[in-house]
Amino acid sequence: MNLFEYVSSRQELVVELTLQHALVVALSIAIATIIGVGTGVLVYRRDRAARMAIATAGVFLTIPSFALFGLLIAPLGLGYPPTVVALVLYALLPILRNTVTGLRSVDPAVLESARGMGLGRRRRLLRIELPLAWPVILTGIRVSTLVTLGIAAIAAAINGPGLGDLIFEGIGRIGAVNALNQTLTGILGVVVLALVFDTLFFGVRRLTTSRGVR
Amino acid sequence: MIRLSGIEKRFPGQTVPAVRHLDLDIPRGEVVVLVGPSGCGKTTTLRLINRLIEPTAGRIELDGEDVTEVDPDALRRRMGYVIQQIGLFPHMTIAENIGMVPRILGWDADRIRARVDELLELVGLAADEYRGRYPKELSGGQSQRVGVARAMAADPPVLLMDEPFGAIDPITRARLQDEFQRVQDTVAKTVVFVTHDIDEAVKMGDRIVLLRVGGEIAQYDTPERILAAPADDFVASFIGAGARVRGLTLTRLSDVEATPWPTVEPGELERLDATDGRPLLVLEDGRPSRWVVAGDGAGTPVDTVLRRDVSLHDALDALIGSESGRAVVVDEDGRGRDVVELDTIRAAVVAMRRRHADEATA
Ligand SMILES: Nc1ncnc2c1ncn2[C@@H]1O[C@H](COP(=O)(O)OP(=O)(O)OP(=O)(O)O)[C@@H](O)[C@H]1O
Ligand SMILES: [Mg+2]
Repeated sequence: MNLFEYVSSRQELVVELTLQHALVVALSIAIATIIGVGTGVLVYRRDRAARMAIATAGVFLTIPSFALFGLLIAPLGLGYPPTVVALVLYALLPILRNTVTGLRSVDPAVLESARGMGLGRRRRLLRIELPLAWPVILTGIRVSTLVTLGIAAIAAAINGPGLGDLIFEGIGRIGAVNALNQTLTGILGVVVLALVFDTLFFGVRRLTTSRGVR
Repeated sequence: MIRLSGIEKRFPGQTVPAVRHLDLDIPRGEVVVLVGPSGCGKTTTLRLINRLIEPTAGRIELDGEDVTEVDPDALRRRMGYVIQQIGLFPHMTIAENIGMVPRILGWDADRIRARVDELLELVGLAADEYRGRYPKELSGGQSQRVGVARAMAADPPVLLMDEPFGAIDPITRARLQDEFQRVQDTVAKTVVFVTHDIDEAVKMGDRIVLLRVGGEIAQYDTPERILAAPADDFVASFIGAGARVRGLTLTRLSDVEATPWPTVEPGELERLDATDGRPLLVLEDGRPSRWVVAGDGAGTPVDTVLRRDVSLHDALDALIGSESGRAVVVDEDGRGRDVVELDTIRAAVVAMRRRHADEATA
């Protein structure tokens, strides 16, 4: 059986795992975006706080993913909860760092004129700073998405959802019939998802950034 | 009216304050120009007035009310602010930039649209062409004009303008200055206007504040008096050479006395006998046409006529280029028989200087 025949014979399962994979990544990225952008907004004007927040988010990234998933079993059990938590932790750094960078790179003259016109703190943030920082923030979200797409595969080790199942199972019985096909299917699924998400980001970027800053 | 009393501003880490002992009354409806060398505290003074920064000492009042007791954002919406670096919002169209404050103030969309178009035309940009553009699609001078329009959007009683016409070519700049003066004549806003350029200061200002580095007032006076009677060497050197010629822009030809000139009608030319050497002015239908001297036949055509409302500066310019050294002052129909000569202008300058010197000692 070649790879193509293998995928067709298990179409239903492959589609289901791919959707699970996409879903768990999308959910984690959504949560990480809320936390990352929120934290970025809170700290970007305070140098020490910003450095501490970014360093902390950086620490999560250095923990080997296998170990982090394992550590989370004790408090959170198996399946979705530890997977999502781990992925959120991995996704934080690019989003947080780009939020801080983006907000800080807004032209001071633009802020001065906004203040001078009587735009208060909130309005400046919502109407001026975040829209201007948005392309940079979005780049951070995109990087996080690609990173977590790969890491999410490891979640299979703790019974997490997604394409990791195929990869782990295939590796576990390597040499057996279709073991390689199984592994390759999992990897291919992740790659396809990455392409789909990338296209999606391209569209979102076009739709959500003003022509004036493109 | 805006009143600054005893204002001092020392930025953190500064040993010499950016502004010190500043006492300044800016009368309602007047244009007060802050002028002085780079770093003398002009921008700092504007930012103190709208509370973008707080003074280290002193008090600022707007119409008798201490500005520190007003909500700063509400205060700023009553004061249009054109910053030196323009600072348009790059992600918003020109219309959105100009409509920002009206939107905050809750104007309805139709009113905002009408106001945006009105302001664009006012600053010389065709509304149809520019309202949908983004700032990056404008030239420097166009951006500056949008900056001015944006500051005026909600019709604030006070305008703070930091070198609003700095990046504009001389011709457009002169047009904008004229346009601004025309508008100012009808709306009479209280304007604090910053410039490096003494000529612009003289042209725009009802009063001029000359600041020296360290934010001290060297002279606060009308343009005429600053030019005619500089308070000290600093002021004199800042005004530079040509102060008297500059001062001529401030006086109209109608303010000086032109000499009624002896005239003849074309039909009387034959009967012309000896004159005292000065040519006679030939009037045709009341309009000056030629200068004639007895025995010189046709004479020479009148090459220079001036309307009463031109400035002495323009009159001087025309006279210097005139063959005869004389110009006939005419009304709208081109009729007139009064004559000015180079010497008329010199005499007027001397008289003015004497008057200002008398006022200064009085
Ligand atoms: N935020 C700040 N922190 C520290 N020093 C400042 C700050 N803003 C201005 N200064 C200093 O205060 C002085 C006055 O600055 P200001 O910007 O008011 O000058 P200016 O008259 O507007 O000059 P220019 O004509 O070059 O615009 C300068 O010496 C400047 O370095
Ligand atoms: Mg300045």
